[in-house]
Amino acid sequence: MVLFGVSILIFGIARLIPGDPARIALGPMASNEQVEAMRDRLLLNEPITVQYLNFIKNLVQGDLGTSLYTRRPVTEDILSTLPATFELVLAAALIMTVVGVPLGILAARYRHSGLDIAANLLALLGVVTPSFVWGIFLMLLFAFHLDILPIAGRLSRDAVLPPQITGLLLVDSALAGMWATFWDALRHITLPATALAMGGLGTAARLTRANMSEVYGRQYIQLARAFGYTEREIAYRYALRPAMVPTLTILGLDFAIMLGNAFLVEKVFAWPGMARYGVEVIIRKDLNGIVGTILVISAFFLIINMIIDIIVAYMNPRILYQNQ
Amino acid sequence: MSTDPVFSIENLHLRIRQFEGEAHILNGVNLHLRAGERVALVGESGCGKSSTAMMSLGLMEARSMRAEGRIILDGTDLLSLRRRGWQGVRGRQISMIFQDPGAALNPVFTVGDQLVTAIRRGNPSKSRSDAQGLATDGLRQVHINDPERVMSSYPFQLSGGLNQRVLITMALINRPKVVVADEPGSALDVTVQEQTLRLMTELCADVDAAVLLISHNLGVVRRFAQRIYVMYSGTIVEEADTATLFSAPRHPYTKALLAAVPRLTGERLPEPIPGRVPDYTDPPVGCRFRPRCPHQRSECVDPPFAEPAPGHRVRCVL
Amino acid sequence: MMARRFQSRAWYRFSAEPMAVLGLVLLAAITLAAILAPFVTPFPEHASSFVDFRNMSQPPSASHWFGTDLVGRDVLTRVVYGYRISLTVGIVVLGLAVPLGVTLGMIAGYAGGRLGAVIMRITDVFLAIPALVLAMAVLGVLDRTLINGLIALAVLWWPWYTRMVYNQTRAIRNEGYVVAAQVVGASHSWVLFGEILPNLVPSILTKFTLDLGFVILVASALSFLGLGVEPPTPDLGSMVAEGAGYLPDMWWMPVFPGLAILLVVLAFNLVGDGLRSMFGDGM
Repeated sequence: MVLFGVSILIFGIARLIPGDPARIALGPMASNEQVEAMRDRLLLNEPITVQYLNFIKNLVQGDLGTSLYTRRPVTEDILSTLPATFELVLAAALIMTVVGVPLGILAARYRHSGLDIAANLLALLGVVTPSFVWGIFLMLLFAFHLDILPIAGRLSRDAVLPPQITGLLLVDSALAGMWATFWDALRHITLPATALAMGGLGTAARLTRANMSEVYGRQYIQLARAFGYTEREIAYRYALRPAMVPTLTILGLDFAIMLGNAFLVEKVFAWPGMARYGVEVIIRKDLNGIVGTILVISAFFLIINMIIDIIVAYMNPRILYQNQ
Repeated sequence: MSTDPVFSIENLHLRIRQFEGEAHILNGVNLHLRAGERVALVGESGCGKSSTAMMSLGLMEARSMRAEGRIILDGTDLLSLRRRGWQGVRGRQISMIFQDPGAALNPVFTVGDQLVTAIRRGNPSKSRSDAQGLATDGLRQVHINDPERVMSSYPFQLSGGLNQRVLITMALINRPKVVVADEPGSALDVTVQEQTLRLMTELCADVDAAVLLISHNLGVVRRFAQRIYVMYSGTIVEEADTATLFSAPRHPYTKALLAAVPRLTGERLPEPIPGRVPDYTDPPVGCRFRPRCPHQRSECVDPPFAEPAPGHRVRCVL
Repeated sequence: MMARRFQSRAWYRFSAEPMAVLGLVLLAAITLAAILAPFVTPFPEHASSFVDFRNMSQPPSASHWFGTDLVGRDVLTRVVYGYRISLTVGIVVLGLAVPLGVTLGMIAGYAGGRLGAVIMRITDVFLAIPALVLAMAVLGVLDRTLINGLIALAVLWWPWYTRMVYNQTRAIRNEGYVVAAQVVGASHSWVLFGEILPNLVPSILTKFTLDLGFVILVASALSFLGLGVEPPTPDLGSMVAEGAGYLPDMWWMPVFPGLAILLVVLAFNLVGDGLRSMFGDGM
């Protein structure tokens, strides 16, 4: 439903492009007949509703049209770069959750301690620092100054490529048992994924802490204390689950921010993902390219939010029972 | 019935620092409970009765609070306990029944789950299935006919009355010596409140637990409590057994409270007490009720406790 | 008397957070420096196209605290001038987005029904596209000028206000004073702007302050990608992008503008957090 709205919105934006897409694609040297032929091919002479229906029809078949810039099908273009971006965002989401949530729990348990203050500071820095600045800082420190991690790219030049199964290098190399490649890929992804995770990591910690503190104020926590539960039990068993319900929902939004920020981090680390393609199609006003890129990212985002909704429902029995 | 108290609060003071200055929330509270005794602590909202309840279980949490005095349970001073010490006491020797059953049960765990955890907390050697059996029996005792269904439900699937009964079961299941009940059932309707107090009377007698009932309503405690403490602005102003307090109240505040209880036979509306609870950061010197008292005079500045009859103590010169 | 007491109480709460006061000081310093840029920067003429190849790519020194760039311009001067653009962008974008978002949110929340549903569904659609990507899309359509960049950012910011205001309006729609105003025959617009809006001010103001920082952050991200203002106007994001190509030797070129972005976003965040705890439970 929302995806339908998104498709209209994007289609609308795309059709607002000033100038004639066919003319832009063919360049100023093309003759009027060539332009006219292309307009026919792109259905640009049909009414707007026909254009939209045709767009949806092709979309359902997985056809996003031909890029006016690379002159290859947009689907192909995107599929060749999507796995790299996907791997990067997934790794960052993993770092964000695995580091951020426990940090928030500890900060809530030991409120006003040194750890709490440090976590708060990290959260603040994470939120206010653009991810490309994180990228540059991390690169300067770990890749140049300490020289312990590679500067850019996804793999070393001499690395052996694993057979392509999922497109995610870490997964593919692990499946194939190529541990040298796995290690190489891991070393390459560490810095960009960390840079990308920093913003969300702070938010995750802060949110977890805030929601834990909120739950700590509830009567059922007092009840647990009144019945002699240890603070440890209270934190992990009684407070965490109710606190995670609102936290997860917001983390879904962080994911959206990450999808956008992936463009920035990819540029810093020359990561071969969708960023270059996305920026290039925008600068060249490549209609199909823009529409395709944004649709794929939005769909990706919606799917992730759906998954999070399902997890939340399982963690919160109230939602589960209401739906039945 | 032994005469030694199982639980006593001695000269308890509580101060909390705020923007307006230091609030003197509790100003020398003294009270005691004998084994199996049902005692009520009554006062207007904001008089410090809930703070007293919270302090009794060490649940008061404020960054800038100072407490003095002693809270003694079975020979141990609870105020001196650190976190670990509390864990052995809470739930086993002293427990609490909360006001709002909707808020006091964790929404993401089933009732059975929460009962079983409470049992095993007090008795780590019990197996899960033993605890389950004990919980089922406990629920039967509070007249729940289908304990299995209740056990497998989440709190939000049950009525307020059922949840309240679950809370009572939970509070008494480890046979504590003292139960603090903070206005149980007052978030629910009157019939549920009645039923709650009846169940509490029944069960506490079974396990010989003393009860400290916190309430703002003298009418409610009349049938429940054997003795009553009346609290005003952080101090106990009068204590007596229930019959005496109702037949021969001494303190003007107690009289005013009694006059504010609606009666079925009454020919006129209950009289509200004029004025309001004083500011805690800048309380009146001496008797804090003085500004609202119809009988105020110069000796009221620092009245001693008078004892008109054994067990009947009143802090007033009248 | 009561109002005075209330004000001093609000200030007590705000100043009880040392970080909020720090943010306020930081913000004042940045704003003042940006406004007075021609007078406080060491080389005001370096703000536009200026070339001095004898001084190109100098590391930080006593005369050039932040070093110089590839054509010999003082990085410190350009950072301060970059703040001018950043602050303007923040204020203009929110100046467009907030009134639109707030009005739509109030209407949707107050009217409810079909109109409310339509407005909120449209909002959902906008919220379903990652912000940066949406801005990129809008910029892809329009020519890349400063004005269009501002429009693009405004387009992606209004739905957040709509959603927040919608939820809060729904929460207070049935409060006694709102109903009372309706009962005595107040017009819809009076109820909206006279009764409901004043109650929303604390949360709008808090979000506005926080967002000023985030708009600057996203704007710098866009220019980092090469979708922002065109050279030679000094812009923090494009300065980082330009310098990033010369790492690690000319580290000062990306690092100082990067830190400058961080600092201004931080300042707005600290002040916003201070406002939040000031309005906190007392409201």
